[in-house]
Amino acid sequence: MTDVEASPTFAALISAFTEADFDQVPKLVQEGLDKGLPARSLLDDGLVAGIREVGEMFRRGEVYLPEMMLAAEAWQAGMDILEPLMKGQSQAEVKGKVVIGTVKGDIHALGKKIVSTMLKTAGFEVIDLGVDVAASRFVTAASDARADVIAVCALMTTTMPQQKQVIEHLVAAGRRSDFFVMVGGASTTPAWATEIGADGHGETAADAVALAEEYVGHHDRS
Amino acid sequence: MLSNLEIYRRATTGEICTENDFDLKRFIPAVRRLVKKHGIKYDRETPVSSDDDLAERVWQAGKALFLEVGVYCVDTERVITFDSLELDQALAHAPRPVILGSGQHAKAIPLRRPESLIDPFFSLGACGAGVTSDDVFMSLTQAYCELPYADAIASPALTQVDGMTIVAGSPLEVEGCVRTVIMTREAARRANRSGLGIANTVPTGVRSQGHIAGNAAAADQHDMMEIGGTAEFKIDFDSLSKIAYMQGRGRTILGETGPLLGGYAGGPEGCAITLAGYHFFALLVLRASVQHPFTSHYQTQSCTSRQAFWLTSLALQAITRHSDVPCLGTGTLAAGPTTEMSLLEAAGMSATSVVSGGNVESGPTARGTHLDYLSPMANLFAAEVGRSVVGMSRKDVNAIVVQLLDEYEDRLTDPPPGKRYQESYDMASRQPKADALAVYKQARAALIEMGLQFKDPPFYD
Repeated sequence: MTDVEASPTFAALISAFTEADFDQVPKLVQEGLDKGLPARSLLDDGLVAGIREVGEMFRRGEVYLPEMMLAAEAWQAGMDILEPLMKGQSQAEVKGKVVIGTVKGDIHALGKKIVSTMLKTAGFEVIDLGVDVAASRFVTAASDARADVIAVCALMTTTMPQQKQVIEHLVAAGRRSDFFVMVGGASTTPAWATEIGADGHGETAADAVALAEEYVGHHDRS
Repeated sequence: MLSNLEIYRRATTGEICTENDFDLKRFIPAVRRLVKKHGIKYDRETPVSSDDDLAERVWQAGKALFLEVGVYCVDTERVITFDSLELDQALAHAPRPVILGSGQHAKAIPLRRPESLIDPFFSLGACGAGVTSDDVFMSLTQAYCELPYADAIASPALTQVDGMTIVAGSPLEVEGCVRTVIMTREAARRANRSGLGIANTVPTGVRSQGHIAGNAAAADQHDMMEIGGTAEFKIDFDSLSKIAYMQGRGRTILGETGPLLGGYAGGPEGCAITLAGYHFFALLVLRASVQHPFTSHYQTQSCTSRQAFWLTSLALQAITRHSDVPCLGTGTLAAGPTTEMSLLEAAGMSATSVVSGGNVESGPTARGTHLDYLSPMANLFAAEVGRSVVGMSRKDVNAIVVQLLDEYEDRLTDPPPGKRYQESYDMASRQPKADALAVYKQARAALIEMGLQFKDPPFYD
């Protein structure tokens, strides 16, 4: 099949993402395979291209968290079809691994969910530890996963000090230099990030993705 | 109405469900379907809607949403569900009236409908935004108490106890909560308003032990504790524990219901119906006698965008057309204290709430996130404007709010920071310094230019 013959399928897949017609995604993937399109192309030029466009729309304020979450689900449904056909091939390109969580004492999940979903749609593997996460769990989870980035969320002024605890636990474990640590949350500031020894501060979810991308772009994961 | 223990029973016996499934299979699809079914459509030209039919559809969609989705208990990973009769009973049997404060400072929170001619109730203060020291806390809180239109006070949050940083869940949080209530009461006494009610007793606290300790130590039965869920239509044992304490002592709860604009509820349409549905969450789960409906934008973290006004206006109208439980509208401002933008935001927010049937809890400046970036000026201005729009039509208020938005909305993502309280006010006299005073006068002149007739003379000369 030529590129020209294949392009309507890719365009339809991208459109299914951008038009929020998410149920169509696995059907279109299967149709593409039935037409003889390679699984690799359906992944790169369909699923990945589509979900990245949704991420861009979120940055522009054109869609919101529900569309991002549904897009991530649709992406996974498409991957469930493609993965068995891609054994031996490299899988979807993962930009890097991020361990994310809301600190001990803080049960606010929504901001973290937005960051987590945006990171996924941007091509990161995300290990979400949830809320009320002890400092030591960030260290062990990031170490076990060989993560690149640790994202530490805190909404309240009285839970921000726990972000510092995460840094101190990393230092105590001798792992501080192994991870890029970024902090975020309504009350946090760049000055706070500097004060506690974090590597970056994300005011918005898009900032967090940009920070993670910049870091992995300059560091060899091997 | 169902008891709080019945809610707990359902939290432990309801349908098992993962949190992800609750979000993706229950809440999000229901919001999207009900927005479409009820024809809810955002109108950027009308941030203060006069469309009664639209408000009615927002109410019906919100009620259907709560009924269909239920409430998720994150500790038991189960869904608490209700039937239609239980929702109607909650509306009919909710406690009323609500009186805050005592003695000569006791005041009922009035039941207001859209375009009500009843003067609104004003809870003025920092709404839990943090300060760096006891000195700033005392001066600032006394300044709030001295505002002539303050019917109740919403104090700042302490961030230090004897020089040590307060950490949520720690003993310092408990001590900080106790001190917060005692210091707020003392600030009211110094302002010669000892009986002033406290609308949110322990903003210093996050966890239940701090809230309970602060209330047990120093709050009285004429104060309120603000309690919210963890995210849209979600609750946890910690919040249920606060509720159990307050219910057990016969105390009043202010139900915090603030869906994130751009979060699980999606855009302004989904947020509008979620906020309306939250009324039942407030009554049945939070056991609230007063609802605090607001929204904040996921990017600007403020409650003063065009979309935020549109959806809070509609949700307030939807709720106050059907319920006798009063609402305290409004929330956080983007701009810093003693900037003209912060006063214009406060004006828009207060006017929108008052004409839509709400009372007012004027919120903090600088997104409530920068320590000491507070002042009583925006709260005062919110009250002056709120009092002045009583008697105006929604259409006329909309015309003013559109002009206000034109003045500041392009700066919501990068608002002016303003100055800290101790830089813009004299701490001892609690009076604004010259540059802050000039901002107040400019903002009053701007509102008059936009067509508002102030009912009261300026507080600051």
